[in-house]
Parts: sequence; structure tokens; C-alpha cells
Amino acid sequence: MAIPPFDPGDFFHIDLAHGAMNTRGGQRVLVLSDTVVAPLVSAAVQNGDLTALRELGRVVGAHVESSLGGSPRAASAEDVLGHARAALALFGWGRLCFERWGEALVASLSGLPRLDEDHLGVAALLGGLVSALAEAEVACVPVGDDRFLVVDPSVAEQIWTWSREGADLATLVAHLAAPEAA
Amino acid sequence: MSPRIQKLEALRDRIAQNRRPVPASSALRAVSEPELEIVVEEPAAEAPVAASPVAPHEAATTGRRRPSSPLEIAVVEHSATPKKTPPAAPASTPAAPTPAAAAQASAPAPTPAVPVAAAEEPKTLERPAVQPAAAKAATPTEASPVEVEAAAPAPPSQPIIRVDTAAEVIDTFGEMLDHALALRPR
Repeated sequence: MAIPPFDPGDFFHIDLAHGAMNTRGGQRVLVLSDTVVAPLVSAAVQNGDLTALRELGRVVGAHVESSLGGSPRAASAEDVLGHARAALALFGWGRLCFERWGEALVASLSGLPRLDEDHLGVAALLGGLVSALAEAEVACVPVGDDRFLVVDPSVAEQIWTWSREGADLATLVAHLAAPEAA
Repeated sequence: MSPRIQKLEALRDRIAQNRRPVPASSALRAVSEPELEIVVEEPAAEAPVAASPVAPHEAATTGRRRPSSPLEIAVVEHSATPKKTPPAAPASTPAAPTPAAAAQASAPAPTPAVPVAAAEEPKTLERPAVQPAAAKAATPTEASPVEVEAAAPAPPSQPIIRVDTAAEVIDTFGEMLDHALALRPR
């Protein structure tokens, strides 16, 4: 069955009388400037606690799942991308794209907000989003200016270390293998 | 002026005042710097000491040198392991091998020192010799991104999918995720 495209209409409802803004699902949201969010995210990165951003990603993921009308795992990659891209764009986090590098999955986000130097805030947001879509814990590791390698959380630290040592995406992918091939 | 040179000059001045010969070995012990070689030369005849030394600016302009003191100490910097040239053996009679040389001849050739850190650093990556472009031709499924990306401007929710025919066909998003999440460092 074909899944209809994401409908951005009436996604946000602004209640001027009560001074509130809600999503289509009734969840209250706040509109913040990136100049306000950036120091908050930087402080969260320094404290090592990005739970709030990961939770925001899960909220976006819940909208995607609701829009798809079923489990994202059973949908095609194209349908999931279309809905996730639209939902993420509505929250102003950039333009999402998926890339496959062999077996590896890479999420790229063009036009992403510059919140912290290493994009760890955006990585947490994407991690929450993809976790909601995958129905499992997923980590997104920054591997460039706007790319994030989607991996199991158990190997995220290793990928991050390699990336910090200067390994580019092709090199990182070349050093990953499925268990039977490792 | 470095303390080392100051110490040497003080030694030289003391020698000049006492007029006593100073063995070279004692000067070496006093300096105790292995990278310095001190050569103490005693002139053959008592050389007169100049009454008025040449000022530095004068030396720079006229080229006159300050007269040397009776004992002249030269400081020569050299490497920590000075090269020693072994005496050449006579051509007719081959030199008998020393015990050290014999042991070296019988022992296996020394292996080059391998940095232990490099061998014990599995996390350090080496860049692959094959560039992504070349790898794409060799192994189409590795290092060649298959972009699930809209190639041209498209209306929202209708991305145009570019599919690499060499890549594995993935039916669902969950299947694509499972492949990605199963990857582990080699």
C-alpha cells in the first residue's frame, strides 16, 4: 500500500488568545532563536548530558511514525526519508538525507544549525530521531561537517575516536564489517 | 653566555693565574658534559699576555684578534656517539676476530626496532591505499555511497531516489537499519 506523503498543513497551531503554540498532536512547543539554543547546547555538551536533544529527536520521530501510519521499519527507506525530512524541516533542523556506503548508513543534514563545534547536539537529535524510527537505541556519530554515521551505540565511541584522529568517512566505512566478515 | 662557557672561562682564568698545568682529564670531570670535548693545549713557549685586550667593536671593525692566553681551551661540540674509525688491518694478514666480532658474526642479524606503540594501537587507523573512486570500481558495495537523496528540486515528501544498481537491494527501512547497526570494527 502506498504511503501518502507527509502533510505539513496545520502541523503547528498557534493559539494567540492563550499565547501557546502546539503541534498537531497537541504537544506544546516553544520557538527559540538559534543564538539562544546554541549556548544551551554547548553547555549540555560540556556537561556530557544531551538527553534533552535526544528526547527532541524522539519527539520528531514520533511525528514521523504517526504520519507514516505504521512502523517505520516496515516502510520503504524512501517513504521514511520523505516523512522524516519533512518533520525535521518543520522544526528547523535542516534538510535530511540518507546515504548508503556499502552496508553503512549515513545521515547527512544540510543547512543544520551551528550549535556546538563538533555537532554533537545535532548528533544527539538525530540519534533520538533514528532510534524512534528503528525502535532500538541508535547512535549517530559526527564524521564530517554535516554527516553522521548511524551505528550501534556500542561502537559509537570507537567511531568517534577514529573520526577525531582524522579518518574520513570512506576510511571509517572501510574499517567496519558485519560480524561474520569481521 | 651559557653557564657551561662561563665555567670553562673561569677554569681557563684560574689556570692562567696559577701557572700550573691542568690535566685534561680533570677539566673533563669538572665540566662533566658528555657532548663537550675540551682540548687543553699548552703552548711550547711562554707566550706574553697582552696588556690591553682588543675591544669587541674593534675586533669587529679591524679584524684584530684578542691574544690567546697561555692555556687555550677550545670547546668543540660533537655528537653523543663519536665515530671511531677502527684501525685498518694489514692486507696480508687478516686480523683475528675479536670476541665481540665473533659473537656478532655467529649471532643472528639484529632485527630493526619495531615501535611497540604502533603494534599495540589497534585503534589507530591507516588510510586505505585504495581511494574511494578506485574502491568503487573494485568493490561496488564498499565506499561508494548510495544516496537516498533528491537529485533535483522536488516537491516535499516526494524525494527522487538515486539507486546504485550495484548495491544490494533493500526492501524496507528496517532492513537497511539492521545492516548498518550490525557493523562492527574489523
